[in-house]
Amino acid sequence: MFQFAVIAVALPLLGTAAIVLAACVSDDRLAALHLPTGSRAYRRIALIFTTMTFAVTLGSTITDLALGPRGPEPFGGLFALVTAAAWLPVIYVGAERDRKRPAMLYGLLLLLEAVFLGLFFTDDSLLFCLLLEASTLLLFLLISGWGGQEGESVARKFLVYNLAADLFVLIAILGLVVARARMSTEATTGLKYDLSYSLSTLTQDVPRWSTDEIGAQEYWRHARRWLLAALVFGLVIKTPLAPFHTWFSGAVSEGPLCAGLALMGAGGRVSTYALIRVAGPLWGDLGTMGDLLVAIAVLGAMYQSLLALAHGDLRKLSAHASLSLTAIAIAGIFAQQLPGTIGGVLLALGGGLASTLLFFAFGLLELRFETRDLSVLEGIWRRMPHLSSALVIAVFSLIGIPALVGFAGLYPVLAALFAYEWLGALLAMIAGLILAWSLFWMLERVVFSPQAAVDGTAVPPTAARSNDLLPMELWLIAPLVAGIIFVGIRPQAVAHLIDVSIRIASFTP
Amino acid sequence: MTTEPIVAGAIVALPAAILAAFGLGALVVARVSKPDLVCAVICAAALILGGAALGATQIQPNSGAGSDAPPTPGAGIGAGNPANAIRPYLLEDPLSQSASWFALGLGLLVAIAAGDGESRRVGRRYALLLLSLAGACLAAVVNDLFLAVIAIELASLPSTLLLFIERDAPGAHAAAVRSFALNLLALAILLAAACLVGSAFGTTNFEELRAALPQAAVMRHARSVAVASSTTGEMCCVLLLSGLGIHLLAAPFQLAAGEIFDGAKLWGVGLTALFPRGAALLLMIRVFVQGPPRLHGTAQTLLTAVGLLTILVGALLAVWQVRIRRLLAFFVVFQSGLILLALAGACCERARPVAAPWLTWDVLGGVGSACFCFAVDSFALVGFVALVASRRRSDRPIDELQQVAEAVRDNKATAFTACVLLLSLAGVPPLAGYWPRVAILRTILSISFPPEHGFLPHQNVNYVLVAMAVGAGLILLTAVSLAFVKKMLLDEVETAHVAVLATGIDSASRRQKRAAALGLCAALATVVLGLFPDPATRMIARGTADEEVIRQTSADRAHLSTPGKPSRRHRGEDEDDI
Repeated sequence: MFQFAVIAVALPLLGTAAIVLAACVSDDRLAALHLPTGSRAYRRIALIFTTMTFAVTLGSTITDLALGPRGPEPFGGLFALVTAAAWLPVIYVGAERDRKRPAMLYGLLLLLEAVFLGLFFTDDSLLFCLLLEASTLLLFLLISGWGGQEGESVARKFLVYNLAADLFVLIAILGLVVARARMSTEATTGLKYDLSYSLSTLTQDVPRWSTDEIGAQEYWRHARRWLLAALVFGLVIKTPLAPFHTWFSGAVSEGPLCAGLALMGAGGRVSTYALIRVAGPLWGDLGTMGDLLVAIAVLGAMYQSLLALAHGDLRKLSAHASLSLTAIAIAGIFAQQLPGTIGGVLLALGGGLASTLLFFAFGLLELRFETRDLSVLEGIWRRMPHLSSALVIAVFSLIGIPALVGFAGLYPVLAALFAYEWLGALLAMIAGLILAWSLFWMLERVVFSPQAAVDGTAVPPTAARSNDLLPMELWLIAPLVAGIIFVGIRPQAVAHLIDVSIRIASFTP
Repeated sequence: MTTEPIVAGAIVALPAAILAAFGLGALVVARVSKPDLVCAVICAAALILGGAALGATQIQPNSGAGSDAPPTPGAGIGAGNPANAIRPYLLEDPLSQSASWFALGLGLLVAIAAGDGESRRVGRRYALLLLSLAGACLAAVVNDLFLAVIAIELASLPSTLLLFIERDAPGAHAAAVRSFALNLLALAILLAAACLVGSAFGTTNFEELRAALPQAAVMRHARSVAVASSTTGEMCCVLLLSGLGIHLLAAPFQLAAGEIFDGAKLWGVGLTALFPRGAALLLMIRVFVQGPPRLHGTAQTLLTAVGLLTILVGALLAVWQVRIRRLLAFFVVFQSGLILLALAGACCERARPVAAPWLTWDVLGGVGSACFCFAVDSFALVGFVALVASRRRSDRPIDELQQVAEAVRDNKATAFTACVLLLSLAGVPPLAGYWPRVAILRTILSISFPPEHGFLPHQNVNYVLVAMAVGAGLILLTAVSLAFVKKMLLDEVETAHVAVLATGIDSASRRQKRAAALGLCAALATVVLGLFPDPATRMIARGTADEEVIRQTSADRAHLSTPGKPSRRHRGEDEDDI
């Protein structure tokens, strides 16, 4: 597993180095060697390294599925696999803005991939915080440097929210390190009081000592309140749950497509991962704080669903749909029951795949028709059957149709919420229904509407057909579709992996 | 007291004496023809001789590397020498040695960056640099408050003189006058503080001050450590913090930092921001952290309040700046706030070692974090200043941020280098500036209330709020620096500017290229240190470790590792009963 992780993180870094080298070679020399020049060269390099990274992360997950988990890492490996699968479209849609400083654009995208993969693979809490902040800075540069007219102001908002979240997480983790070091003096006589930064050590030692030792219990009773408050608050901003969500839709709609996809595929998953990996083992019985968090998450899900219903902008629609689903997943995690946690993880992973597919399909529509207005795009089914199919799969997965990953996640989450508080489950179901309504309405209008032309005039079928997905694009969405269907059909394989990993991480027997 | 040990002990001040003598010599020589060359030779000779003298007075390295065995203070020149026992004016310990070496290294870098400009002016710069450096080296070894006042004035007056000498910028004269007035004020306050300390405690010797009152070892479990300070002691603390705060650029004692930096040349910014502040930092460590144990509580409170204010002033004012030197001034002010908070943490560690049981020779404490922050940011600042100065042309000033961005962005390597250095100054990961900030945040978060009823010392939640304020400041500085980075890296270059700059590049002098190379080296070091921080962290931890604290935490460890000993909880109860 370790080797897989190192290779997976090293490959995008090598890709960045290759792009820097290519940028140092003149176009004439590249042309003489019959190699692509300019932005095409950089994009090709980035795609090659991203594909290799995806292959490595896939190999890692298959190994874990075959041999079973031996540590908490496979849990992060699943998130890394979703990130690597999402990164193929991310690089592809970089073409949208690569007329301006292409080498830097693709270099930053590869660096960002390495950072996200490192986040999911690392066991070092300081490195985790460092990578969290690095991902924020890289996304800021992408949004402000290659964004639209409002890119700069949106990027500034993104930066302030995310840096605040990152610093809350950093402070909480440093506090946890200090707390563990102090508690170790009480709990383990003769142990060298080291400052351990290992996530596994922190999440295993602190809960164990706080139940075994009276002194440590007393200390943890005081420290737990502010530590968890800071950690959860940071992650709630990072997710983002309402009312801290405004940065997300702005960044997705005004930033470049590649940044939006990166946020959908990986950025939005980081906080879910951190909640389960770091906060989950520590919080014990949340009490009224748990009720409050479930309420915020469920109400946030409803609010995001309503926003998705109200928006006529394709990018904002997909952003709010993704946020609504993430909020339901978080509600399942805060319900503090194992089915809810596993369902939340499945929903987060499935949401990552389906949201990426939906946003990628919307992005391709935007690139082809140069609009993202829902009212303008109509009836693409007959002209673009492959793209329409991708949209339909993504929507079906997001709203929880059986045999797709959304269902596999949504069902245990709702079950856990019912067991926790029936009202929360009811509200979550209503949120899901509103989301389904908004997405079906979008499908009905964009895909199945009888009108056959964008501008109202008839388009010849042959000419229209040429707008459909290219073979390359089909290859890029294949991993996403395969993931959605595989986990939908065989959720128990992945659920078992998540279950055992979480138990190991949290030292639960 | 005989004179023999005093003379033997005075050898530790030899590097400072050499630097001061050569500095005065260079000031005289600056009147001859081609003074820059002669003064450069004098400066190089002074640095080499200063380094040699420092090497000769080197204390024995820690033989128990990786263990808890402490370095042996005074094992160098004075091992077994009565000079060590008395040390009326000067002292030698790992901190003084590390600080002196660091000052010499930094002096070398500043000297490399100083070479650009008219010949006589460059000669004077070298002379003033040597004098300021002498002050910093003296501040590292002083053991007496009055001598400390002389050292810090020696470190800071040259930067004020430089402002008077190089009065080209529109606001330079006003900046020089303000700087001079503030220096006089600081001198008056520090002298008053020294007199008050002398009358209240009967001595101004640091070691005697420490030994005159109950040691922290006796008091470490008692809440009274935080509250037992007398009014006179509190007044001493306030006066000392005010005087040293002016030199450290801590708010509210130094509100004119922006104007002073703006009136200075870029090189002068480096001189003003480094040696006087370094000397002030060293003296704060001696006075507050290693000072009388009874005053640790007062010092901790004062340092926290001033540090918090300084951080907020630095971060908020940095947001509005459009001129590069003013921006750097507020970056430096913010860094001073971080240093003060780290020292507050160090006071707590000193007062209650039981609250920081993880401190060893390899782990950064509050003092180590403060010194790490100062060291890393100093290198980044010198590199950035040298790099920006290397882009200056006679037909194009570089005063405003936009002008700097235009000056550097035509050359990718320069633009990247400037970005790396600026981001490191803001503490952005994964650059070197990130790690000291993490260490300082950890120090702040480890500040605790004293243990009660035998339980562990529990977290002081007020300091969590302080850490969050630090976080807010870091966010503001990061946003400011990223906006500037975007200007340098991502904004389109206007064609007219490219033409002008291309001409300028051809005419760049050899010295400017040397300064640019210095900036590049600093950026590379920043990246390498950011990716592999452990060796530097360990080195600084060993150089700045608080022997007193570590001895007590080691004693705790030894006590607990002995079979049959009662747990800390039970011991605490026993002590409470007593």
